Amino acid sequence: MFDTSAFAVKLAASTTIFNICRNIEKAFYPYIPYTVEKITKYFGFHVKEIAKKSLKTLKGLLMACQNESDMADILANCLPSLLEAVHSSTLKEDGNFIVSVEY
Amino acid sequence: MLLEEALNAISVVSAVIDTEFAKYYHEFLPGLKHILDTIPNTDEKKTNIRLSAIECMGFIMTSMRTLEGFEQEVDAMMEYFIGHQKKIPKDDPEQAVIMDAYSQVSSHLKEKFDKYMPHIFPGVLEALDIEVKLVTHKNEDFKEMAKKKYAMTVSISYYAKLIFNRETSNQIF
Repeated sequence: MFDTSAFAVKLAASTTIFNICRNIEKAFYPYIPYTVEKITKYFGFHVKEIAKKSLKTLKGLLMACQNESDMADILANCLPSLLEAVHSSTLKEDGNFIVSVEY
Repeated sequence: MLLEEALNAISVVSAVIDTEFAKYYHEFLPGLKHILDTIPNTDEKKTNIRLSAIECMGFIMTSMRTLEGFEQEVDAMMEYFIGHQKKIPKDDPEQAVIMDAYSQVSSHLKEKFDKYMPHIFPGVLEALDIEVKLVTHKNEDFKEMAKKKYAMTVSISYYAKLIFNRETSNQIF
């Protein structure tokens, strides 16, 4: 038997961050640095749902930015984790994603 | 349990008739809060009732979105949820359902949800970092564990398949 409550909370947290970021848009701006720091750890997470939500949150964070310089900062912070995630086993399961990256 | 079914029925009705349900919220919300205040989280059945009550509150809040004074009502509900979150353990399944309710509220309030962020966001980020461990129990402990925790039982063949796929020695999540 597996105790799944901690897992349910973790999954709900990743979904909640994504939803709030998408819903409140620019009002999310002050929380971007804290969020970037957390979500980058989960880009290559072995639970695919959490990895996907983290990557989608990244898109939401870019929408919450005030200007292009903020966007550049986010991408600079995320790029190493993003590249690592692309090469991780979780994303390799998705053949289309890998093909689009390789070409 | 009958109470759980009744709560699910209220959730479904409020979701289906949507904003039309708002006029009845005065009659339901105090009872739902009473359930959370009085039914202890001691076994799976009671946990499920509590989870259904929180879910139901989320649906009722959604149905109230066009009501005059919605923001004041949301203030009160959010204060209740934030206070409740502090009383329960970090890995309690109620945390997950409360966070779902936050998502619902934010979808209606949009940028006005900003005022709750300092109170809820540190907790949400903390929840994302919660450590998930694989814990297995002996067959004879199943009944006792099922009473206490929100848990999932999987067959041994599925377990073996997961281990094989993940190529790890003992971790699934």
